[in-house]
Amino acid sequence: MKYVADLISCVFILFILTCYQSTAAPAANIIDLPDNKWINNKLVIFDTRFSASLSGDNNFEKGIYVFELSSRSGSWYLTFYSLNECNVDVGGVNSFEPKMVRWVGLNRIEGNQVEDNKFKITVYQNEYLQLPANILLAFDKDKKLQSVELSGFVDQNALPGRVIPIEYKPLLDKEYKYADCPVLLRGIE
Amino acid sequence: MFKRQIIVFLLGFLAIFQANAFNTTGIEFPFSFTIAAHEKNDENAIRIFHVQCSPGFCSLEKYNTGMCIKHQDGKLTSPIGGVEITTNSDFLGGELVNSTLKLTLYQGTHHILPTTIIATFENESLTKLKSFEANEFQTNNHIYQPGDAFDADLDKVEYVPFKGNILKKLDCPFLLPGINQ
Repeated sequence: MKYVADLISCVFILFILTCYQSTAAPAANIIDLPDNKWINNKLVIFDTRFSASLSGDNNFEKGIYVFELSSRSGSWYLTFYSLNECNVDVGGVNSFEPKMVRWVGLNRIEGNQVEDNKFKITVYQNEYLQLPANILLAFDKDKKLQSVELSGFVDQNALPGRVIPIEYKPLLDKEYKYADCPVLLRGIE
Repeated sequence: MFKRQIIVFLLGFLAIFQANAFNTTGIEFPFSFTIAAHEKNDENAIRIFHVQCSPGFCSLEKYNTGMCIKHQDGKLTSPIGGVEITTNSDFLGGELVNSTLKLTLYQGTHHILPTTIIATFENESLTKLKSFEANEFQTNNHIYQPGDAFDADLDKVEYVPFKGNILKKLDCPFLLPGINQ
């Protein structure tokens, strides 16, 4: 009997270790990206990437936002890039600093397949499961992204002090866009 | 009755603690810095390093910019991408001694391809950088996992920090991926 109890203790510890490891996954760029696949009539997505502008900013003049979503072994990862936010004044010249926010691990990101070809991703923009934002993705039969709905996002630059809701508008067709201002490179002063 | 189980629990938690205890040492209050650096032999191959540390934790972001890369359709574009690694993984360790932060980054599992970043601050309040060294970085941002094709001869680069703040106009447009790609 006491060995059974030991075994249960060990399984519990292994469970904790597994949970810990899943939050500790490294953020890595993957060289060979696997393609999305249909398996048993259910879509398995590995990687998808799309851009968005602020709602009403059709020319991306107030900011370029790129969402990079991937799934590996049941874990979801979202990297959010912000570019072209030309509001850093250096010597009277506007500039921008590229920024990235990454959501990975327990209590930061959840993904659910709500239909065979639809996924709901929830990211928590603050600690303790606060400020959830949702991404609804639908794919077509060719495994291509068909639609994206974004809701609940807040201005990442204002966190954690202020909560400023932001409405993003996903880009339909790919687009080439020059930055509207230079990039600020902070050096050793 | 439960003495044996308690010991097993304690050993387990000790193992968790010890597995990560080496990740950060000497960091007693939160600090962060951002520094831009270029490859020693290519001033357009720019990386922006953003480091955030707090007691028991550091994260390193390395963002690519400045270059023009030929896309599949033949057009030159500015890359959008970077990598973030934290001490929650087994790929990054941080050590602060006096006013010098040493980050050790492993660019593959099992502590292979180590590289170091050494950031020295002007004073112990850690608000202003005095020097920054980053050596032995692989030219790609890849973190090698078991099973990845491994190129032992891949070039390694040293990053040289810019002096002062620089405003750089990007020569190439971003390629923004749309839903209908």
